[in-house]
Amino acid sequence: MMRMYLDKPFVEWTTEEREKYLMEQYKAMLEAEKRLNAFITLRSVEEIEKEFHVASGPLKGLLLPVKDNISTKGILTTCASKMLSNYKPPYNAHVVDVLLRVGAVVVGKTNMDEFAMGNTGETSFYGPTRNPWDIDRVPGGSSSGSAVAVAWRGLMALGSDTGGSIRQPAGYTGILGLKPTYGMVSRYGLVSYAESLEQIGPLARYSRDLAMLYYYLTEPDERDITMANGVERKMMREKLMRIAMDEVDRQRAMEDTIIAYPSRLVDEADESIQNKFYDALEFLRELGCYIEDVDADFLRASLAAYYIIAMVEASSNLARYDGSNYGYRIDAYTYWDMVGRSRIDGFGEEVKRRIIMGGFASSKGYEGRYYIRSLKVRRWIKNNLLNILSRYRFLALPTSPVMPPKLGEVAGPEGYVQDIYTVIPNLTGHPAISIPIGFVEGLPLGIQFIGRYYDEPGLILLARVLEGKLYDPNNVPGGD
Amino acid sequence: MKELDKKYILKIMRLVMIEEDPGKYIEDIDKILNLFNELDSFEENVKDLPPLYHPLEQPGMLRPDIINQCKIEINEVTTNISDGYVSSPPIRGVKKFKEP
Repeated sequence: MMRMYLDKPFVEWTTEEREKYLMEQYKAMLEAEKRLNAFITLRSVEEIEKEFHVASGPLKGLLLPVKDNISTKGILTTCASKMLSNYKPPYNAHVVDVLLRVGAVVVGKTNMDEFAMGNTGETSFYGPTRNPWDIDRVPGGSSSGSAVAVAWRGLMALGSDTGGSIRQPAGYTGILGLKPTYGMVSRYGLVSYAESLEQIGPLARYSRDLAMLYYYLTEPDERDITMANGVERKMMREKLMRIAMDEVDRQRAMEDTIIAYPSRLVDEADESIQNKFYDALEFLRELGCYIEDVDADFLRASLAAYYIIAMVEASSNLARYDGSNYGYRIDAYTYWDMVGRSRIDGFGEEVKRRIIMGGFASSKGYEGRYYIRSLKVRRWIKNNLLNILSRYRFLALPTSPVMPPKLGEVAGPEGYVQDIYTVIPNLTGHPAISIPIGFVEGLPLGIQFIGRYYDEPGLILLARVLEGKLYDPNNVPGGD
Repeated sequence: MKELDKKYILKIMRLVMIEEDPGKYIEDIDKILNLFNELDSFEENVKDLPPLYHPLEQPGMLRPDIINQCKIEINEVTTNISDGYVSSPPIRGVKKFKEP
């Protein structure tokens, strides 16, 4: 039976099952590559088997799709860009090293929006990824391939989240996606787009698998100086392991939890999304949660502030791609011609647009009006959100205001509004999760919860509570 | 978009080394500027606040700058290396450096 291995979380697999289902997993990933363009690089069976047999540890038997902006030694890491189409990193990202050490095998590098700039999975130099629930629609982005690989009979994957790049595709494909508290996961080896916003994070089918994968991702790393230190990490990891081992009282986990939702902001989502959103909140109310409407109109400033900050940081981070040391190069008679022509031909339109606008927003004369003001707005939003989260444990929002658009339907700046709910925790550094809450006309959709700093266990517990009730983790596109 | 901004965008395109026909970007840049300008309406709320550059405002702990194998490893994936240096075309118009 094709789907036997999806009947229970990976953490419950026996040693025999891990070996037995290895090739089943690989076949599924091969299909995800061929049908849905989920991978930029898929490794060979021989490589996978060889690494599996020498692997050991709790994740032995897991084939892990890794987003193509996370460095993997000796394996192409293109960021879905022509600019890095020939780049094989000489080192592993910290998270990759950790996961290899506990037995996982990198099955391949997943498709994504170029340099993580996009929310549809369409800006990739390698062509768009397709939504497995309707191949004429986008799967969301930028971690499009990672989400699709999991939704299409996969188990877990690594993505990165700069403004919703894990949560939004997770919502569009009906799986779980977690954006960590800023500083909980080492960014060593993550190709930078906007360093003050982005974090590597997990996507998974089952909440217990999500907890297990995230447990390993949070291993400290002194090479990333922005990593948060202190007792929070140790306490959080203990809680994560308890969830992964199913040592929590699922029935009573959410009793007396107070959850806020900003109805005036939710009103901006499609009506069908609002209906499902409120159904999910009602379900939580029946479980014993208190649900309250809050005034959070300050969040309306998030989208503009986010895009200014992201573009300014992108403009700086992508200055390194000049054709000199590595990456794509067009040879020319002079140095400046070489740099200019390599960048014009090496970057896609969306990336160039963001570099230009980032340069503009941080340039002398405009910096105060745009960049500095956006940083002040960021503080204002953070202060107000901290105030809300001091009174409520979670803030609930739809993951996206719209259902997944058709391929080519939304392009460029017109699509930025899809990020309206997801950019908020990236500005403030809070953790957030997208949890599936059912289907509308055959397409999955998600609810997003923003939590207090270091309360990722609480967010995953929410998923644990809703699992099997509002969504079926064993449900896969295409039947069988 | 104001005429001043158009000229300025051209200047920015030169600075970020993406100097191509601005025509294809103008319409999208206009839309992005409209989004940016939405922050104007929040000026009263934020004018006295200090900027927040980093979400958690933690002090950066600098680590020792130790020379390791990284440079050698990076050079292994670099083409156009000669004598340990990355070769690139000449920068024309710059006076050649003379040994004292």
